[in-house]
Amino acid sequence: MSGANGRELLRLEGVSKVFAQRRGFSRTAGLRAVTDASFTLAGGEVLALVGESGSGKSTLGRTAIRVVEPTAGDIWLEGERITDLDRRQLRPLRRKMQMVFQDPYGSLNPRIRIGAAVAEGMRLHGLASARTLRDRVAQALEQVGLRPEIADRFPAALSGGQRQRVAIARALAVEPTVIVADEPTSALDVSVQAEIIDLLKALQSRQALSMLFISHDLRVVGDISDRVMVLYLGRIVESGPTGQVFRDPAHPYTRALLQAVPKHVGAAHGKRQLLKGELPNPVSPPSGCVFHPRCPFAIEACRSADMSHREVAPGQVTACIRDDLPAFDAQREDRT
Amino acid sequence: MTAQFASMIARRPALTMGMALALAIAVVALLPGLFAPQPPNAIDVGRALLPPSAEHWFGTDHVGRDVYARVVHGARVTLGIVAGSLALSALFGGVAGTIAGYLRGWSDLFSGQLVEVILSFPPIFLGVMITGIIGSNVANLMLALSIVYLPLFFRAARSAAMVESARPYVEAAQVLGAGEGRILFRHLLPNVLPAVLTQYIILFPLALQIQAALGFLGLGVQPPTPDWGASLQESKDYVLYASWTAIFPGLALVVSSLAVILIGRGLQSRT
Repeated sequence: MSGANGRELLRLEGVSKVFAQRRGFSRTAGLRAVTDASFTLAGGEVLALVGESGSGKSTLGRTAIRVVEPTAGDIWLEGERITDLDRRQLRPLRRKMQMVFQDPYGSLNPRIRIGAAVAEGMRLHGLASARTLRDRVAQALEQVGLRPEIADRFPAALSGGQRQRVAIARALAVEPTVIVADEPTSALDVSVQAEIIDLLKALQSRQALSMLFISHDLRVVGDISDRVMVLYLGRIVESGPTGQVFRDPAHPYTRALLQAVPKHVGAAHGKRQLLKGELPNPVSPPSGCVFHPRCPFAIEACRSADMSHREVAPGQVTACIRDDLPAFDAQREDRT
Repeated sequence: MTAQFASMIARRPALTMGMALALAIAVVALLPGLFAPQPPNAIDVGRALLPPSAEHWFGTDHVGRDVYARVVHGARVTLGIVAGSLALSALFGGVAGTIAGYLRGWSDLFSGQLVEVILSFPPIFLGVMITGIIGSNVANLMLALSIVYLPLFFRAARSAAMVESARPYVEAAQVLGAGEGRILFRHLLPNVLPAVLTQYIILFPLALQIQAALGFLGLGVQPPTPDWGASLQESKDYVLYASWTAIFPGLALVVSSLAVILIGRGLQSRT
């Protein structure tokens, strides 16, 4: 599945996003949602962004396609720098960068029929004439496994899974090159989740789509992605080929995430208390390595570490300064 | 079919009654000639201030005009003015409120403050002031009423638009490449509309009162055009010995208000 054409499609360099917070008239310290993120996404590649809620993965995904404005850093799409384009200049490029949202109940306008919702993008970008539009909509719906008759219905008449299929059809209808899927299954019933994942996988490989797949479900990530990026408090703490990272995680946070995955459904296991404490406040993140207050392997030097990436295996980088961690065992928790 | 209808009445009696009343009033207002063939402005001084009878159901007024005909023909004038000016208000207030709630920023601040200024005047005072300055005729009366109620539509639309703007379908439209105008009119406005319609129903009886009050003060519809508020004004000198001249136009106001209030109540207690 990896690298249908392998060419660089999307590149981010040193991208940060700080949400300004206002209290009355004074501006206080901003919320640092993403700090100094750099990565590339190749054609046909599925890159997963994982991390707990509040880690900035949604913000990074949105910033990458300029739905959220970056505070610093640069973004290139197909070699063109798109950091400074204004809204109007960006509009024609929207076609290439689409998104599937988490909540299929909120992401479809309740007062717009399915057919019109799917047609909207094609109409905006002049991809179909009025005459061919209906056929194109029918095609788009069939492509995601829906009957074309559904076009005349309103979203309220559809189930969550059907709505998410519509949302996918809407995104694919404009023939994008990059799709950001923001936890596309987390609002759905478990029985429907697998269907949507299979659909995304099938469409992705058939059309050689590049996808930024945001999720906190590591099993889904292992299933769908070629590479994975682990975020903690707005920082990329580790990235690399998914198989490699899951087999041999180099960052203590990645290890903790992997150990938190239940191995067998229904298997009894003791209370897991893998990480101490809670996610720190992103308004005033800890000094040095942002993970050090919760890290079971933290040493004195971590308090002032700069979190620059070092390569531990081909394609795998970590922000951890310790190269002497004990061998990883997914079954056992790490302790100090 | 009848069983269905009966169960609907049982389930939502207020709504059904309100709708039936409103429908009846609307039919009367639209086709007054059908219900009162006699001309509403025909003066017959010899038959002034006659009590209700088979010939004159609601009696006659101080110049011998048929009160029934004046009430029936006044429905179109009075209710038309209220409905029309509220529609104007809803249109401009609704669109402005939606824009302000979506764009926020300085335009929101500015329009919000402007609206606060209008709201700081009591409606009747504002109505008297506007018609007093620009003159009292039907067009000016409608303009005055629309200005009086614009702030309330603005507020309702603004708060609904703020809620809707935060919903993912707006972001989805942005991602698709929709411009601000398209997001406002195609995506937000249809979702803000229910809030505006609710406001319309709430404000209708209030606007009817103000319209009648302005008519009573002589600042509304000018004679001899039949208007409920103006009829009340004309009858004030005879109300002690020819009460029918005041009772029937007053009753028409009460029943019209009641119909709309019932609809509002019925919609509120949605199950």
